[in-house]
This record gives sequence, structure tokens and C-alpha cells, in this order.
Amino acid sequence: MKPSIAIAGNPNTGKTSLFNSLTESRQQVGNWPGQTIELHTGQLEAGGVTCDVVDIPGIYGLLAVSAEERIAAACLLDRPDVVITVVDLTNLEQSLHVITQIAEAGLTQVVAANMSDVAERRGIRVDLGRLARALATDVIPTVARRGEGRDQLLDAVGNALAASSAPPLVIDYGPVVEQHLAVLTAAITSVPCVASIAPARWLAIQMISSDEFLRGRIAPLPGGAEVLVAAERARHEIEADIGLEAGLALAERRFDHVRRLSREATGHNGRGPVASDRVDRVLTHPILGFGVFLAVMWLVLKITADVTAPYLDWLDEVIAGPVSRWAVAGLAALGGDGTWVEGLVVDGVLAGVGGVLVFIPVLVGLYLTLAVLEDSGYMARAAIVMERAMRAIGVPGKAFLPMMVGFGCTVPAIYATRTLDTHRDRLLTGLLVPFMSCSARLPVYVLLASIFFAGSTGSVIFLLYLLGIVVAVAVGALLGRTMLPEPDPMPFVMVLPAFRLPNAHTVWALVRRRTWAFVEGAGTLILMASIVVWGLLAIPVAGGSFGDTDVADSAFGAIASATSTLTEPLGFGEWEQTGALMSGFVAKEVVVSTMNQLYGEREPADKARGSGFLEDLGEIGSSFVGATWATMRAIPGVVGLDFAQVEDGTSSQVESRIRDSFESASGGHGSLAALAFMVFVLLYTPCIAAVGALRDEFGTRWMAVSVAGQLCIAWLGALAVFQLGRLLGLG
Amino acid sequence: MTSANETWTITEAPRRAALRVVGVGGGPHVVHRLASLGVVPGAQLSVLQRRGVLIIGIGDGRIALGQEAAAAVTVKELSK
Repeated sequence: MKPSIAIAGNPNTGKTSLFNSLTESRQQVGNWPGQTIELHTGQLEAGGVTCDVVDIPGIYGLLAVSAEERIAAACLLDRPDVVITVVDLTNLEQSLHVITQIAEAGLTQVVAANMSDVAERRGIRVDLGRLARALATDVIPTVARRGEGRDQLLDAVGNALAASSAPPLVIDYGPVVEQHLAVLTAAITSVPCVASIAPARWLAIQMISSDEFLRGRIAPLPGGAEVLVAAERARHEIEADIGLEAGLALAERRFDHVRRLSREATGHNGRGPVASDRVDRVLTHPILGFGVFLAVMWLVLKITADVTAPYLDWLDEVIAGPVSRWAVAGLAALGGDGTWVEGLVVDGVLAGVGGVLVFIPVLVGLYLTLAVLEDSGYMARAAIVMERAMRAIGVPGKAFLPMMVGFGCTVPAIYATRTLDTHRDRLLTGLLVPFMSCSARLPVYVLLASIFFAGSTGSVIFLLYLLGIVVAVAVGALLGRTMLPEPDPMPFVMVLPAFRLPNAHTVWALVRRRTWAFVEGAGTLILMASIVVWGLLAIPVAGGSFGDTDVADSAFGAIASATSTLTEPLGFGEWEQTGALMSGFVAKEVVVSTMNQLYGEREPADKARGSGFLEDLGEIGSSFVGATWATMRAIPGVVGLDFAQVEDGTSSQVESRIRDSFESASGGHGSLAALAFMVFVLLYTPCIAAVGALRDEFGTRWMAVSVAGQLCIAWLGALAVFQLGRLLGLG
Repeated sequence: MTSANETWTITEAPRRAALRVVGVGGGPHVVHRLASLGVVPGAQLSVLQRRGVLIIGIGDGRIALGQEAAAAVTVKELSK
């Protein structure tokens, strides 16, 4: 079996940079089973041995409260052969607390003293030699982002693997605690199943400190229950004797030890106020900080939407143009052109692949900005600013960011929930994000509002956006009190990471891995949905042959007609309308084109246009250059205000048909029905890609809850608009 | 003005004064969280900012505390 290595340490100490530098390209990213916490694993070579490495979530101590801490605790309970503990030299005490606890647990440790360059710049001098002697481990100075100290660290790991493990660190917890620890340690040692987990004294320390996670591990073991009873007794007696929570009493002594270590290594007791405190006064100021936050949000939205848009169009054109032509040409060579196979390949598979690919520029843009915001330390400041407002709907301040991204596109917004700290917070935010009106819904509003509310299009659209927010707040408050209550409302406590320059390598590695995870995870679902929709359109029900039938006569049309009875009470019970909504399940952009198609004349397809392979390649290349140029032009535009012009390419003939259809379906309340239709579009599932993202992040069950819940809310919302509006005599 | 024995919660403590933690209350989870960050009896800290969310300096670290968590920590001024 390969030796196992865990990388531990406080969050934001450059753990991930170190992991990247140690494993180079040999790494995988996955999720912890049933969790959306990213698990980074890889391999490294130390002392001529290949070892498995896991980058465990950042922690401040070994008492597990949050999901991340439980995972870290589970990793360390697996007893890795060597733990590389990353120390942030700019904040030594908090790092030493983790080191001390790992040493108490009797794990072999190698310390990576990271950010030695930043510490030096700030005039923080740490005597690593003295620290190493005090800790009785190797302490290797590293600058993980530049790969400095990598080889020395690997050598130290190799030596640690070869050496026999050192005895666990023993801290003197004072006479009262020591007396109980001795009794409990003896009790644990006499139960082999429990004692085999870890050194008995450490188990005793953790149980007296109320380590819920460890208790859960020990309870089912033979003899475990007795150990737990003894531990509880010891805890109560300690608390009665010294009048302090036992865990706190132990932490007090441990921090005495930590402060002594820190003083020895640095010769001081912590700095006074520093320059970054003044920056923080602005960034976390309730008003100034909010202003800065809005400006940063604006940038994120512009980068994810505008800057990536040219690449998006380019991808779209390449797939719909040259790639589709090549596929058709390839099929022709095999004698399969003009048959349903061509339809399957072009309209099913290629459209699906395109549906996956078009999200890549957006996701890269989002992940890039998010990684920079997180890596620089700004995200923590933003969380402080938004904390109070977001708490009102039961999510932490950081949830504001995914919600804002949701106005651009739901898919990256769902992935942006990863920046939140607990699974519950991520899930609740992920369920609320789809109510933020994404940019793909805008064309639907523009089309219908311009037909039915000609004078006040802008106000109607604004009200729809507002309604989305109101519904999200209401659903958040409801779910937060029912299905997803806060397990233990945790008062706000957060470490402010030091400001740093984001590291290009770390940022890019994260962007690449996360983007690939999307292609693998959500991509398959999008592709499948695309093929299913093509199949429904191809299956003849009322006439025609497979792959060559009118929409009205296809299975798609039949389902649209069947479901239209459900939308009758909402004022839009015609099959064209439900058909448009069905296609909107694939993507909201499609609603407008489906309406154009269903209410207009069928336009002849232009894919017959012949063109050579080389011309195609040239076209791809030149349009890519064009996209890059457009991106460069978009970047300065990010700073200025340029509201995108929404083109309205619908002919007046189609408009009058749409008007007639809504008037007749609603019994003469056309504008009310159109409003109900827009409310439905606002509130139901954004698109199949969002569904894929939900499944990817939260599992199939929560995906189903989200989809079904949104359909119900959309139906009720549209019903309320139409029926109440009619009762009040509007429209 | 203030006697050496006067204790405050962090929310009431004077800004920028050198303080020593004398007690941590609140629920077990708050105590755990604060303890793992070094906010334990005997620790030295100072309040750097007190607008809505508080920011305290402890060792070389900076910790943001909501009102509720800040009210759980009692401190007294270090005798000069």
C-alpha cells in the first residue's frame, strides 16, 4: 500500500498552492461523498516512494463543528503516515494551535513554514531553527506559490517516512485535569477497539473537550459506550472542580503552550495595528464597504457576462457552422446524410455539445474572478459587509455573491455557492439562486412586454426582476425555517485572512479543475436532454415520418397539447404557449425562437450552404481572432456603463399572432395572460444546464426538489397574477 | 477612570486598549469556535473596529465577530 500524506493547516495559508507545487500535474478533484466540499487528491514522490496526498480542508483546531472540520477530522483519524502542516508565518499562533493538536494526536509531522516572503516583507522574523527544536520536527521554509522549498520539503517527508514515529506531544493541563485524564486514558487503554484508533491520551483529551465527531466514531465500537460514559463523568467532574467549560479549560492551557512557543520563535507578543487595518476600516464599513462591494460585484458581472460574450458567440457559430457542416459531410461519406441520423447528430448531439461548451467561457470568467477575490482575501471582507442583510433570509453574507451572479446566469451562480462555508448554506443559496432573473429570460420579457405593455416595457421588466428577489427572500425565509433550519444558529465568527496578491498558478489550477468538473458533471445531463428533446421533435404522432414531421404533429407537440390544460387557469392554455415553455426548460433563450417558429412561417434551413474544409478552418481562426478582439474591447467597457441593446427581431406579423393567441387563450385578457406567462418564465426552472449544475452540486434528490418546487411556485405565481388580476378587473 | 478590576464584554470594551480575556460564554459551539481561534481565558486582544461587526486583533491575527459572539467574551484592561 502506498504511504499516505495529508496536508493540514489553517485556511488561507497557501495549503492549496503547496499541494499544487508538490503534486504538479498528478492530481484529481472530486467531491466528498454526499458533500459539495471539494476533495483534492494527488500523488507525490518522496524519498523514492510514491505517496498518496490529500489536501484536507483548512482548520483552526481538531474539534470538529462544521462539515469541513468533520472531514478534516476524519482524514486525520485515518492516521496518515505523514502530515505536512502548513504554517502561516504572518499569523504564527493560530498555525501553532493546529500543529500542537496534531502532535498531541501522535501523528508524524513535517512543518512547511509558508509565506516566508510575505512575513519578511512585513518585518516578521521567525527563528525557524528554534521553532523546529521546540516542536521536535523539521520546519522547512517555503514559498509555495513559487515552488521554493519544495525539494527540501520532499526530502523531509522522505526522512519522516523512513524514521520511526515520535511519541505524542504531552502538554501539562494542570493537576485537576491531569488526574481525570490519567483515569480516562487508563479506561481507554483497556478497551482495545477504542485504543486502536489513536493514542489513548489524545482520545481522552478530545472526549473531555466534547469532540462530537469522535464520540460518534467511538459509540458503535465494542466497549465504546462505556468509554463515553467515563468521559462524560470526567468532563462533569472537571467542570465542577474548576468552574469552566472543560474544553475551554484545556484550550486555555494549550494556548499557554502555543504562546510560549510563539514567543520563543518570534520574541514578541503579536503586532499592534498595521496598515491593512486601515484598509479594513474602509472595506468593512457599513456604507463605504457596501459601495466597494457593489463596485466589485459590478466588475464580476461584467466579466462573466460581457467579456466572455464574444467567445460564447464564437463557439456558437463554430458549432452551428463548420462543425455541423463537417458532421453532415462525414455522414454523407458514410451514406447517412438526409436521414434522421443527420438530425440526431446535428440537432441532438452537436446542439447538446454546444450547449455544454457555451458555458465554458462564462464559467472560466466567473471562476477566475471568484478565485482572485477569494485568494486576495477580499471575499472575507465582503462577507462582513453583507452579513446582517443576508442573515435576515437565513443565509450568510457571502451568499450575496452567488445571488448577484444569478442575474447574469444561474449556472455559474450555482457553482459560486461553493464559496460558502457549510453544506446547508450552499444548498439553501443554491435553491434560491434560480429565482434571480437570469439574462436569458430578458428577451422573453422584452418580446411580450413590448407587445402587451408597449408604453411601460421597462417598468414591467423591472417589476419582474423585483418579483424574483421577493420570491427568493420569501422562499429563503420559509425553507430556512422548515426544510433547512440552521442546525445550530452559529454566531458570526470569522478569521480575516491577510491581504495577498493572488497567485496566477493557483488561480488557474482552480479554474481549470472546476471548469472540467462542470463538463464532466453537468455536461452529460445537458447532452442527454438535448438528445431527448430532439427525439420528441422527431417522433411523429399525428403524421409524417421519423425525423421528418411538423412540430404540431410530433411527440413534442402532443405533450405540449396535453399539458396545456394545466396552464388554462393561468390564461395561456394554447399548445404553442406550453410548447414554448417546454423548450424553455432546455434554455430560456429558446423560448423566443420557439415562439418565432411556432407563430411564424417555417424558415428554410441554410445548412446546405457548401464550403470547403480549409475555408472552414480559416473561418474558425478569423472569428476566434474577432472574438478575442471583441473581448479586449469589452474590457474597457466593463468600467463604463453600456447597457446592452436587446434586439427585437420579431416581425409584426408574429407579434399580432402572439397577441391573438394570448387574447383567445385567456378569453380577452391578453395582457394579463402575457404577464402571467412572464411570471411563469421568471419563476420556473431556468434551464437544463442549471438543473445539471444543481445535480452536480447537491445530488439528484435536491435537484428534483428544486425543479418540482419551482414549477409549483411558477404555477401558483402565474395563477395569482391572472386570476387576481381578473378579479380586480385589470387587463 | 476605570478601575483595574472592571470587566466588559468585547462590545463594551474601549477601542485599541490592551485587553485580557477573563471568560467566554455562549453555547458550546461558540466556545469551541472561539477557543480554537485562541479566544480563551488569559489571551490578550484588542478591539480594532466596532461598527456592526467587530474586528479584534489577537496575536498577529484578525478575527471578525458578530455582536452575539462578541457579547459572549468578557475582558478586562491589562494593567499598564
